[in-house]
Amino acid sequence: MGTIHASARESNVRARVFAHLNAQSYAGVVSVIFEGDEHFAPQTHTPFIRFSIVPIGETWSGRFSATAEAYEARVMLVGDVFAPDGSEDGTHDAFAVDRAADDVAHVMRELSLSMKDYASTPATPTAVADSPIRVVEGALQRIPLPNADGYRRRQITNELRWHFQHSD
Amino acid sequence: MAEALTLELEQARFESAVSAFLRGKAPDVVDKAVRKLAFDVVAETTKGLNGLGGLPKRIDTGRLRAGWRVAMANGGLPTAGLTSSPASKAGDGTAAVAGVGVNRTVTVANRVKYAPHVEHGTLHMLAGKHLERGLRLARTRLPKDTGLDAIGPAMRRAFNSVF
Repeated sequence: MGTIHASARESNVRARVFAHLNAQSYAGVVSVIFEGDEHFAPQTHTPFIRFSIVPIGETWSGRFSATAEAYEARVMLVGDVFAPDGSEDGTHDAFAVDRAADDVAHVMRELSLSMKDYASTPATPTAVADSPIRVVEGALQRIPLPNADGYRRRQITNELRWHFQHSD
Repeated sequence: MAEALTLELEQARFESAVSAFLRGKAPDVVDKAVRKLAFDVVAETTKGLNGLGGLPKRIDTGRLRAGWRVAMANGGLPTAGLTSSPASKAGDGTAAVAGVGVNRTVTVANRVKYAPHVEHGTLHMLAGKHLERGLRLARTRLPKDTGLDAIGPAMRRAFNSVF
């Protein structure tokens, strides 16, 4: 068993995906947070989006080279959109949550990113070849959830896959 | 002069035999397959609730996890390996198998009140997505070959055992 390859670090995938999502624009949304952001306190009148990644599993997918196996990893990317429902302040747009959810779905629908190695050089991550992070076509789901805690909610889920190397 | 060996297929008799075979055996096969599929989804869901596979562990009294076992038992579905809980209440889960012939639907419902909050998350808790993960995994494991040629080898094996 050799050293771990950069493509096998799920931390690199999370950093790459969250960095990309953080750079996008979402209608009417002030804050974008990610799982692990422990100090975020939802502000009652402020819409925000929360992204998280849920593992599905990995399967062996053959040999990558003479010295490494290949595996395919699958995760769910979950985008939770929260917009004030007016119960605390009655002047809010009832459709703001859907506009923000439209933008989240647009970003998540055909996501395709190159893998980068944040573990080695967090400030200037280097590209990792042969391991693109891609959505599974047609797997996006968008559901309304009951209002709670002063917010309207929409949840968008999609599936990401990538291949990683495991040296013999 | 060598004699030629010929084989004549009586199409009508062949098709009649295939139809009889499918009518007799296929519904049972489909019923078993759908029940097993439901069990696989529930089993993966409870594994996720236990925190396996890197999912967020969401076990306190075990009532939510046991709700799946209650459901499967109420529907006469397999429960091997599913965990029970002293916190369970009657009605924590329901299940039913419906349909006739080769059309089967299995419905399994966990009716513990906070199940949606664990699955979809809340303002302060991340989505667990345990059930959705189970469904995605089960879908991946389904046989993918649905073309007309897929049935050929199975039919040949079936007839070889008859003649």
